[in-house]
Amino acid sequence: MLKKSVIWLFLLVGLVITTVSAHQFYGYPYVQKIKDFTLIDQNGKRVSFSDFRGKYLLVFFGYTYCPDVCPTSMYRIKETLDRLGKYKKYVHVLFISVDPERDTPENLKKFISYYDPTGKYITGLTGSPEEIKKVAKQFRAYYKKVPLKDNPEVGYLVDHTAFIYLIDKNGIMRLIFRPANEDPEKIAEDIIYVIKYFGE
Amino acid sequence: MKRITLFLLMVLVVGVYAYTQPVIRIVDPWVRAVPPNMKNSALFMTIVNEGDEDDELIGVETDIARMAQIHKTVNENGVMKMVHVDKIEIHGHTKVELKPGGYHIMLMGLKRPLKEGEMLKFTLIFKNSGRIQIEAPVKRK
Ligand SMILES: [Cu+2]
Repeated sequence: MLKKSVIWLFLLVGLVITTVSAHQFYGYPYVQKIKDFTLIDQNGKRVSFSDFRGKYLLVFFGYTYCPDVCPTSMYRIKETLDRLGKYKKYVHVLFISVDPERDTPENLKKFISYYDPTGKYITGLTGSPEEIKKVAKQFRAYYKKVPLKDNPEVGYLVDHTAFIYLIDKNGIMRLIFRPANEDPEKIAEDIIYVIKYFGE
Repeated sequence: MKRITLFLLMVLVVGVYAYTQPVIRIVDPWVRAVPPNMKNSALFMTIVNEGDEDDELIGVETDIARMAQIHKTVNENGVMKMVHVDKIEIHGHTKVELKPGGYHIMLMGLKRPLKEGEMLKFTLIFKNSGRIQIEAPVKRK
């Protein structure tokens, strides 16, 4: 009980400090501890969220068949990474599939390597529909399959939330970028501020 | 005298004719470059109507995909949805932008991977202006 209050006090103080500090956040400040989870990466390996401790994470939910929103967001993420300069090495991107039935590790690999040919900055994650559902719930990410009439080639699309979440090096969510936050320069400024604030 | 009347009449007829027509101009069309295993992409552009009369984009034809549809991406409380629309209206002396996160021509079931920089052919079908052929480059952005 006491421990819980201490944590709350901590979060509150953190919130107040970030509010009164000079930096005006472009993203939406949101504090939430992310519980650990395990999924399958683009190499078919099981990886846990906690494996990325020590890195600042940008988390995005999407799917590789996505024709408009996901490519737009992935370009935005890529442009953001390109603007981080020396801070880029502290940042890693998690692309979590909301279409695990079609997003096999192989598909994910082709998709993410298009935005990150080095393979160093983006990890694609998929899993069983149940596993994905649990992870998405924690981030309050919503997704729903929408069948396409008279189009067996594509079959279905997936409506989904398109937020980019910034998680600090200790696994605590700090900021949420909405689709309207489309300026990579300002997203990068927020990320650099958070890295300087909580330490590299 | 008769000639002049005829001439004036012609000017008038041409003038009225010009007035009633929409004049469609397509500016900066481009197709989004996508990873080679992706089956879908989208065509974007600005449609300018320099005439007085309204017009409507009602369809798109292409050989590159099995299906091309007019779509609009809408943000419903943070959930991004794509809705299929029958047409895009372009009123006289206005323009409509087809851009990421808004109106787009969705290309579904690409028949082959797209190469950055290549030009793709499309036929835009307008209610009044009829069929307009365009070429759009594949761009990575
Ligand atoms: Cu679409």
